[in-house]
Amino acid sequence: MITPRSRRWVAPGRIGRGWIWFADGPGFPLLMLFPSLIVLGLVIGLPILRAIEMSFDTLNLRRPANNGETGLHNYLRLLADQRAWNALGLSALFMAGSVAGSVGLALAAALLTRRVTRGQALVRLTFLIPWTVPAVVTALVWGVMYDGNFGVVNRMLDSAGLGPGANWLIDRRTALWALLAAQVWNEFPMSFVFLLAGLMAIPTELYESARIDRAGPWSQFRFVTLPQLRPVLAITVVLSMIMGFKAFPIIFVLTGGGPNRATETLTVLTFTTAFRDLDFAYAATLGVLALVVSALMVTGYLRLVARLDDGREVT
Amino acid sequence: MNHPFLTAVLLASSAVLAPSGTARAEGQLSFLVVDYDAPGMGQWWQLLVETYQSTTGVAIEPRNVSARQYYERLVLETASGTAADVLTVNPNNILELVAGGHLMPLDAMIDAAGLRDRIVPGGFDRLTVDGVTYAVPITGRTLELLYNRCQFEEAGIAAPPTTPQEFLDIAQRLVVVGDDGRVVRFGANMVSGNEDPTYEMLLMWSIAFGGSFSDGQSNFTFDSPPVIEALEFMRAVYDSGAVAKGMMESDLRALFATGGAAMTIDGSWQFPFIQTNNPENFACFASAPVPWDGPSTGGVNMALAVNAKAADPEAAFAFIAMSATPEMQGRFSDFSAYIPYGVNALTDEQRASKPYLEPFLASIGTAHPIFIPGHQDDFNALWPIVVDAVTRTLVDGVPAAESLAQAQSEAVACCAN
Repeated sequence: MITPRSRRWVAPGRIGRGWIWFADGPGFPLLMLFPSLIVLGLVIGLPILRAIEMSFDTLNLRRPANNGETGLHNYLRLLADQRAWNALGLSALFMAGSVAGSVGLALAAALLTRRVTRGQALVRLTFLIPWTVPAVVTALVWGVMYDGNFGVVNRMLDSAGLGPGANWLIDRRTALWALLAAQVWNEFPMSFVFLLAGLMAIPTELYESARIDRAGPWSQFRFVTLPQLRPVLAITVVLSMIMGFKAFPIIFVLTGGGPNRATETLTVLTFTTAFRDLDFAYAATLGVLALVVSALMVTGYLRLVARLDDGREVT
Repeated sequence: MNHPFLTAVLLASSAVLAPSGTARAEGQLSFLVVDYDAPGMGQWWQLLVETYQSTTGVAIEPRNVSARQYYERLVLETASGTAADVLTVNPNNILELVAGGHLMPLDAMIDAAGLRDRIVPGGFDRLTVDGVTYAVPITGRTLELLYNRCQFEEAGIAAPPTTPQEFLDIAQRLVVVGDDGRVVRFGANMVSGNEDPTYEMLLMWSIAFGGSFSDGQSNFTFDSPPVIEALEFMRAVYDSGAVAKGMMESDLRALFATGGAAMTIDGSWQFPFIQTNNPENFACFASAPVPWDGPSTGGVNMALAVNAKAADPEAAFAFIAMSATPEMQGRFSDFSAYIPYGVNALTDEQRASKPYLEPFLASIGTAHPIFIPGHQDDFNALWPIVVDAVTRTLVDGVPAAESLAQAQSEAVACCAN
């Protein structure tokens, strides 16, 4: 394997160490990354820093009398805020459901698609269609489908003898699950693409060997597909977790966090605190909480990627 | 302001939202206006601007904003000191604007222009804070009973309901069920979705049962007997099968306009909507006073105020005064189904051509405000509390008294004075 070290053939005496650092070391990549880092710093880094600063502040446009007070009061309020912790719990539940649904569905779809011999491109395209639909449009369409009076979901249940159905979006026993179905439908194509690519990369010889050893479909899946797919599957799960945690448009459009806060995830609560209550400082505090959770997940993702990269180098 | 960074962000936002900013040439006014480019009321605003410009030579720079973005834009611009000279305001936000020192007192100018007598009695009440008037009412809305006369006649019902019990009885009689056992026409509409109109729905029935959401001292009364009775009544209607459950207001409007529900309680703007979407049956639709003794809900929905930092307050007020002249108010009904606040603003011809406006014209001066007096700036915090209580009872079956006791404690914790 060629590494930067092996390419360092220029005599150090003729060209300075600075040039070597620039050409062979991290200098050139850093120079290329610099414009992107500046833009990211301005549009992501600076707002994050400002949000952290604001979380120690008081800034409520509807109640401006106390604006300007600084301290830990927002964090103390957060610790005692049952609504915020409930929202965090709902976010975790929504994330778990979203991952289980989208990755499970994507894996099934990818396994089935791989076996299709005729019209494979059309089948794949069909599975990708939900990804091309904006989340807000998805939400509006599912809203019509879920309508308790005229919606197609209740009609289908009724036709199947499972009626009379429910008022899916205003009943707090069903609202979160109804949102999850819409979220899974909208998000599973991403997992499908990843997993299908992973499946296509598995050498067919492994399956041939398994068949010679008289392995059935389940054994092939368990002892060939799953171990080979594990790196892609792990990354897909982590990315789905991140998408599930930050999900917003479908929840906001369909229920706005209701009924009775039964679908009020952390992202929805942060939004309503900022833009309905106009309490920007406390919204920033909720944002910091979301940032910490997201950072933990991203750290897990990066570690996983690094471990997988290390594994590949070893093999 | 103690937030230099936020100030910069707000200024930048305002610059993006209103590229012209506050920099104005001499003899120019800026005007924050809702839906300036929309048909209907927008056309009246355009007429007002053109008339003012041609009469005075002062150019108006309209800062158009959609109804959805209006509040955020108003708050951002006033907080950042970049607000227009003339502001569209309403009773829901006037208290916070006055508290922030953003509005100019108008009493002297109103009196000098003789505007008091030109406005429907009571029109200035909700725009007056501690005895000082800060805005001139332009348009208002109330909600009244709308019904499908043809469907009533088919069902042998001679007159619209006048009491809550009649409303429920008639709604049940008007339900039509298809051969497959599904409802093909509901007897009435009742907003019960997770949105702020559900708040107003409970408020209306609370008034019908002799109560309200607060007492004379602005103390919350969500757990009072009339409000409990109102929520119990809503549950009876909900469980009767006479109304579509959990539908959003916009869907319910479409349902009524297309004959899918026989009556509703809604605004006068519903009629142009029906005329556009169901013109062949438009003659079937009529209005009547709300089915109870007492006021309707609503009142001023658009008023004009002068920014306290306006460079030329006299010119700004002259623009507002022109909007309240009999000539301009008399043209209002040619464009919009809202109710103008000018005294006798509608001519006999206009009234004859739009008979459905009569109950609205009769109730506009006495309408019960949607916000809770003394808690105008808490509306966004209070409506979810009320809607939660309504859905707890309607959907989860929690007794009305229990739901409202929780709403009362949440409202006190959040917003008690």
